[in-house]
Order: sequence, then C-alpha cells, then structure tokens
Amino acid sequence: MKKIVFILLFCSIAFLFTGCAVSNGESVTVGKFKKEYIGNEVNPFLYHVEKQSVCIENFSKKLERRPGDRTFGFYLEIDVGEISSNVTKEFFGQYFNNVYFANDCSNTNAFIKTKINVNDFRYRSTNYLGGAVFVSDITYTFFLEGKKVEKTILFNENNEIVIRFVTGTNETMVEHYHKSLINELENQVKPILVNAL
Amino acid sequence: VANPRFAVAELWQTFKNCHICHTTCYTPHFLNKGAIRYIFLIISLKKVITVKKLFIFLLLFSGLFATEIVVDGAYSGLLGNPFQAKLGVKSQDISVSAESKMIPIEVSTNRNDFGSIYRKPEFTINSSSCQNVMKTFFAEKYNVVNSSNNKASCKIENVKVNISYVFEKEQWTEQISNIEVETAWQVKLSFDGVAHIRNLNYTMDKTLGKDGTNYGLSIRTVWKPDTSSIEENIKKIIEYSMYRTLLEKDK
Repeated sequence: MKKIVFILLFCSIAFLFTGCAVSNGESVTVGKFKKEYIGNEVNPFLYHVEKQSVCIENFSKKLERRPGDRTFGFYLEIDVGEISSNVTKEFFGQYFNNVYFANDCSNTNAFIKTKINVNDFRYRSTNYLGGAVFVSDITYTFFLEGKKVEKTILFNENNEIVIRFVTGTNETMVEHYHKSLINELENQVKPILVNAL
Repeated sequence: VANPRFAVAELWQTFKNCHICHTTCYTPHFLNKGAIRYIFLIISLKKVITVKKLFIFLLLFSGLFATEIVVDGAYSGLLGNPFQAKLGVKSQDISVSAESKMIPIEVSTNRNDFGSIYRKPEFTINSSSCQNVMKTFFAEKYNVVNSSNNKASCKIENVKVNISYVFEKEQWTEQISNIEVETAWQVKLSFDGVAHIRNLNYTMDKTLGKDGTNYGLSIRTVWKPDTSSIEENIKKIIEYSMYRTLLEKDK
C-alpha cells in the first residue's frame, strides 16, 4: 500500500514540475524562417529595379504560444522577428535588386525604408480533426521619398485564415505563417506602396 | 411584408453578402429575381417618400441596359513588377492605341429559368479597353508616350462569359460557383517599321490561372472571398488573362 501511495505521489510531483509530456522536449516546436516554405510564392522572373534600394530595419522578437487558452501541453515558440524580416526581404527581392538589413534605416539612402513590428500572434484548434485558426497582427511602417506609409495587417476573428491539414502539426502552422504573410504583402501592402509612388 | 424592419434588414444583408466565394456567389445584378424581389420589398414599406420612388424608377430603368465591364488596368497594373514600371530607367518609347467600339459580351449559364422579367445578365465591353492592360504591360520596359516610332494597338474582338449558378433544394439560387471568361483580341505591334499581328485567345476562370497546389499536399487554405460584384470579377479575369497572354507571347 505504501508503495502504491509513494508511486502515485511521485507521479503527481513529476507531473506538476515537468508538465504533461514536456520532459522529452518533443512537444516544443521552434518556428524559424525557411525559404522553401515560400519558394512557390516568389516570382524570380521579374525585371528588377536596379537604381533604388530597400532597407529593412533589424527586428527580433520571439513569441511562445499554446493553442487556444491552454496553459499546459505542447507549445510553439515562433521567431516572428526572423520570419517576418526574411519574408519581407524575399517579397521585396522579387522587385528590387538591392534589399538589405540595417540597424537603423534612417541613416541609409534607401528608397524604401521598412520597419516591422509583430504585435501579436495566437492560434487555436477549431475541431479535433486538425482544423486550426491563427490570428496575427503585424504593423508595417514604410518611409519612401519622405512619405510615411503605415499598414497594419490583421488577421482577426472576422477575417480569419482557416487551415485544414491532414496531419496537424505545429510545423504546418509555421509554414502557413510564412505563406500568409507573403500573400498579405502582395495583396495588401504592394497596392498601397505602388499608389504612394 | 408584414414587418418593414425585416425587409430593410434582409435587403441590407443581401447587399452586404454580395460576394463570390469558394462555392457560392451572390450577385447584385439589377435584373435578377432577387433584386426584383427586394425592390418589391422596398415598395411594400409603408412610408415611401417621393425620393425613394424616384430611386426605384432609376433602379428599374438602369436595368434595361446591359452593364459595361470597364477594363481600366487597375488589376493588371499590379501584375509583373509595378515598381519597375514607375521607377525603372527605360531607354525606348512606345505608343499604345486602340479603336473604340462597344461590343456585347456573349453570356451563357447553366440556368434555364430566365424569363421576360428575370432576364439573363447582360454585359458590354469597349473594344479599346485592352489598351489599358497593354499600357501596364509595356510600362515595365518602355516609356509609354503618345507618339513614337514603336507602336502597339489592340482591339477586343469577342468576349464570352460562362456563369455557373448553384442548384440547391431543387431550385436555382443567385449564388455563383464559377465564372469563366474567354477573351479573343488582336494585337498589332510595329517595331522599327516591322509590323506583327497576333490574334490572341485565352480562357480563364475564377482561379486566375493559379493551379492551387502551392500549399503542398497536407495543407490548403480556404479561398478568400472576393467581396466585389460579378462585374468586378469579370473585369479582374479579363485583365489577368490579357496580361498573361502578353507575357506568354513575350517570352
């Protein structure tokens, strides 16, 4: 009897201090930038602007998120700074020959100066079959020819992006984050920048 | 209609939901059954003032004419590299022109319940509107000017639109599942005195030529609704298909 109580007590303590299945480390997905996720979205065959350049200010931020309101279990550590910076570089790289990062773009003579801030990122499961919704809030600030153009890309509950995946993993969430961001840059940001020229 | 508030709410909801989406589409075409129904709903409101009567008359009167599809280059201007078109240094000029003529668009649908009141959608297009797409295309490589030795001209010869409606609960609905547009047009190019004439033909649907496989096998997105009207969707398809044919012939 004492042994059973001891085993139960030990398991309870182990569960309290390590969390549910976290101790093996496999339940954490680290979301980093991967160029292959947006390989098909980027058009490499366009004429490039040679004379003008684009500067993107260095931005680093990591967010740890669990699906929905869960407080335990697997979670996603997503490097939103690295992903958003590099996806933006790939986006501009389709159109401009010279796209670079800098700590402070205001000291450069770039034609378009870009500041990124990822305000938030959340995701939740919609059903047990693998459906998921993610909500992200990113603010872009551009300076071109002295003009300031600000655009907030917001995927909120009313405009949510629903993804369905056969094998739902956090990695597919990271992949989708890449794809969604470059699509939003194409569809929302590009028209604003072109009209501002 | 017993409750005027309900009529207004229903009318508002219909126009708010006027969009084409993955499987369904609501069209606000003035001559469709839904629109006629809602006009009667408005009339049925108890307090109809003179301004409203005038508005309804104009609404019905405008329905007697086909709707013009205005191809102004708003979509094609964002294809390719629009930054290059505005910022790039170009060494050559080109002039783009077209002859103006209104031509009717041939509309076919899978519906078979059109009548004298509920008529099939009718559209027209100006044959010269292709020049707006050509200007956006050539702007990447050339300075588009009014007079130049290099000349480009075009005319739209024929446009066919096929609209697929949704058949639900044993009746046709105003929802549209797909729009397919076939555009036939002629392009004349004259560079250094040597002229080329090309007859182009392209069929494109709501997917705008995208194969939809970019998201891989295990993941796909729900198609984002395009909240524009049926005319706007046809315009978008025409601009995309024209730009694509120019791009393919340019290779």
